[in-house]
Amino acid sequence: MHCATISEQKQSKNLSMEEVTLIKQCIDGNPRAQKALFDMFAPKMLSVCMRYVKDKMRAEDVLQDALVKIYSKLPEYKFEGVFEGWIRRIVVNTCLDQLRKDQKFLKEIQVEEVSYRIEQHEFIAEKLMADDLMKLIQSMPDGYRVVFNMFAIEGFSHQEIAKELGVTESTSKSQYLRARAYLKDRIEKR
Amino acid sequence: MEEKDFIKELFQEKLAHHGLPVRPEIWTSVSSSLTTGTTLVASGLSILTKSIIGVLSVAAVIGGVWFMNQPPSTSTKKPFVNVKRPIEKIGATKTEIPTVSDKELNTDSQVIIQPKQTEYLREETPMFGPGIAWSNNEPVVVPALPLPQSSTVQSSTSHSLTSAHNNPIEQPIIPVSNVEEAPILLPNVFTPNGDGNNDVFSIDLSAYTFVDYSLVILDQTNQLVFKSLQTQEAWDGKNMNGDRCPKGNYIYYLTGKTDTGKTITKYSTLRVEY
Repeated sequence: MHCATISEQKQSKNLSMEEVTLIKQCIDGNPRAQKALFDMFAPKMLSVCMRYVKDKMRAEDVLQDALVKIYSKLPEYKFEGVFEGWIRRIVVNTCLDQLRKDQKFLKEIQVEEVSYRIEQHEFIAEKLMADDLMKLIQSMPDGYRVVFNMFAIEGFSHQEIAKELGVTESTSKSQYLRARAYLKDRIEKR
Repeated sequence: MEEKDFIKELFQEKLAHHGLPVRPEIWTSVSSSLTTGTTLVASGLSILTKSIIGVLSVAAVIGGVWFMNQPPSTSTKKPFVNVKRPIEKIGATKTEIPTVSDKELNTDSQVIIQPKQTEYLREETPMFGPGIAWSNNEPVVVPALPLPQSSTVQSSTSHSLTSAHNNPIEQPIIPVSNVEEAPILLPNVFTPNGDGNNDVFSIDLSAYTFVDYSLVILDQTNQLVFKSLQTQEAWDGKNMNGDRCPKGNYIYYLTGKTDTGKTITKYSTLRVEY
């Protein structure tokens, strides 16, 4: 699988020797290596899941599914790009699968242009912390949230998002702008 | 996008490497559905196991050295300050096993790995940026926030005073203007958990003399939780009724007037952790 996430933009290094060793041991079925891999990535990936699937229990279920997928797909990993990018891609796809099953979020996507402007004033939001930002993301309607996550944090292009979600590119763009306007509004009101 | 996308930058910076504590039950379920190729028994480390650990440690050290010699990369250049803070333990109350595991439980006779066996790898985890670190077998959230350095106020002022005025006799006794420029450091986190470390919140105002001063701290619903009219008074994390304030974000406002007639107003968010 080719991974075109944020990792790709920053991709300037190969994997560390330590990661390669760990991955190979996981493929060989070494339980300690598997646990180490889990410890290394599960917390971050839970955070990813919580951004897409906001309910904690369901996010944990998705994380579990994704992790099982990751272990079983490890032999297919080509040791290209940043390993976390590969993992993240699988996790995001699993989240999207889950959301697709729910089908709810697609209904909320409507094509609508949004006017917005950026004010270059002092940015209070610098003081917001990750937990608050998580909560803000989780407070968004599903349609906004998924597109915002994919574009802003995972670094997908609108073209990729359109393909993944089966919507048009302009829908993805307008959803993103709406999400951003929503978040900006919430942040400034604080 | 022709203009700078602050929202995107902010969320990416704060959340791209964000991590959340994962309940151990999740690993139990995941590991139960893994097909382990080799069968290393969990109880009792054999010589073989120990030698594997030894080899791995050497590999990890070599890897680490190699890693550090690389040019700055995604995982080494993070400017965050790693500060250990005690945070909630994983899944202290929840015991139910998520639904997926139910399907997979027919293989639950698989090996469950004891935590101590992975210690050799925990040392490396900080490389993967802010998120979760390990301490005494407990996960500890490492905040991705630049925390304030302590005591920069005094050191910078005293330094400028001594170096700029190395002929003290010709100088006025009190270089008021220099003192006025002293920055006020605004702490944004403290942990009133009684461990003797960062247990009270106070702002270092020793560079100023206030004739009029007030500090108010509000919670997220704008309820007053603390008020002080004395610069030395620190907040112990208790609200007006003397109850412990819950973990979370607060905001404080400092307003005052110095003896030189300067009005000072400052505010910042404040995180309470235990």
